[in-house]
Amino acid sequence: MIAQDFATAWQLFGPAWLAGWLVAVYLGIAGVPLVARGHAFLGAAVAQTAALGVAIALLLGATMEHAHDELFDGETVLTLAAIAFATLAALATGTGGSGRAAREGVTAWLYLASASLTVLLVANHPLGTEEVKHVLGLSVLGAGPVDAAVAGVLAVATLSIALLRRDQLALVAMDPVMAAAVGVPVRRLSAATSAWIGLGIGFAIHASGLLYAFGCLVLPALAAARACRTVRAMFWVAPLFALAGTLPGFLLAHATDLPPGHVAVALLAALVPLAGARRWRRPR
Amino acid sequence: MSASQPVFALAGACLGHARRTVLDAVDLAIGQGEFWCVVGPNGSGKTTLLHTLVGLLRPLRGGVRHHPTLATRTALGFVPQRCDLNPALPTTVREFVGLGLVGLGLGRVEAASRVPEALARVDLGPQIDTEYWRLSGGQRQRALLARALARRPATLLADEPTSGLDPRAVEDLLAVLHHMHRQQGLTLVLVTHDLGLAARHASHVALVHEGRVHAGTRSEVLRRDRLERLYGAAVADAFAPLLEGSA
Repeated sequence: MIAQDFATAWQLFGPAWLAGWLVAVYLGIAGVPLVARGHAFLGAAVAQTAALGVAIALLLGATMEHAHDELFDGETVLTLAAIAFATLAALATGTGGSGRAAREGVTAWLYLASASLTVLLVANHPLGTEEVKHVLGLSVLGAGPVDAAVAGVLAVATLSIALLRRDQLALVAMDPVMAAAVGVPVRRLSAATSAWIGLGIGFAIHASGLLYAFGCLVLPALAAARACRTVRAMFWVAPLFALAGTLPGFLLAHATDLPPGHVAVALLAALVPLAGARRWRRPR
Repeated sequence: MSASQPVFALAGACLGHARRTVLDAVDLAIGQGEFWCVVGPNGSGKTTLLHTLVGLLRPLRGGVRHHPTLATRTALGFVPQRCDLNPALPTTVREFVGLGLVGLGLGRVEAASRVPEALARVDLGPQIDTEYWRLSGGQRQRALLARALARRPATLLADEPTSGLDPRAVEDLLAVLHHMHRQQGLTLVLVTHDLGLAARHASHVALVHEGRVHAGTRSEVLRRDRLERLYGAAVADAFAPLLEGSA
């Protein structure tokens, strides 16, 4: 009965669920350097800036009616705008050597400026408020087979990069001065990591919504930080936590008719203190 | 390669960061197997000089000539002034020290053997699987040194490696460095504001003051008249016995 119900649901929501799980794996790994640097809130600011990109694209679209209809459909333009703004925001907040406190200030400023501007820009737009609300409140089910394929490519690429560059990423996150001294290209690596996170959030926010994108970026890495004894292990454990929250999350959401993204994020949030409890019980 | 070629050589270099000159007309030649102390008041530019030697800063004018084998990235060991780890970050002493091997291209077995070896040198062997945050301040300082030693450097540059340590721990740490200096010909460059340490241990001293670097052998640089001019008569008097002994 359960299996039959699941099979029926898979026919309807399979691509969306698959996209959601792959996004979770991708962002779960990408979030590790952020959490390791104590910069988790960057994800919220970047996601909010992606929403600002959507708002600006809507405004520009309103003034360029039908001009690009044959080249880009509306969905593509909105996705590209979200990715562009998220990437720029991630680069602005994730690079530079001005110290953690200064970066926190820039991140907070970016979040607040984007959140207010997003609403103000589309307040009088006939469809804008609705579209932005859609982006902010979207809950995974909007993703399709193309989204699943793109998320798969991103997840595999991220896993490969994390495997190949895990030590460098860990050292840069822990001690960027030492990393630079031993010849790691810290600025280039930080910029690449930020651009990768921006790309991921820009894509994920369109496919699965702001809350889900931010939740998958930060919560699995936070849980991994509490469960693991080493930074290097976090790169393995974070995507497992991402799946541990989102796999049952989507199925539970389907069974209870609740929004899957929100259920998955709630489960991921619950995993964080549980992961900490596991760590304290472990013999040293 | 030439053994007589300096490990680092600066001639008339201007050093600083963000286009702000900190040290001007710097002439310095650090030879193989020498034990240098970079001394000077707080904020005088000691760390700027060290970071330039390590390659973290580029000279604003002039250049640094590095020895082709003794001052390469793989031959240098660097101990930063402090390591501002995110306190929420999980890490063990083994991982912390092991990450110092990044960039050497070592195999898994070789890398695994370097960590306990380096920890044993600084008497932290039993703590290898301890969580980093359980170490005391002095032990963390030794872990920083072990991270640099794991690279088996030909040249070690350390930024105030004894800061925050009690006198016993300072002597223990210096004993380790002295041993490596004598037994393995390790070239040492230590930044410190402890004139006594420089007077007791260094073969050469770079005294950094008011944008200039006075560099030479210990007896050439740590002269009573110079210390009196820079630090006042009280400090010069206090160090007089050490200076006489070192002359």
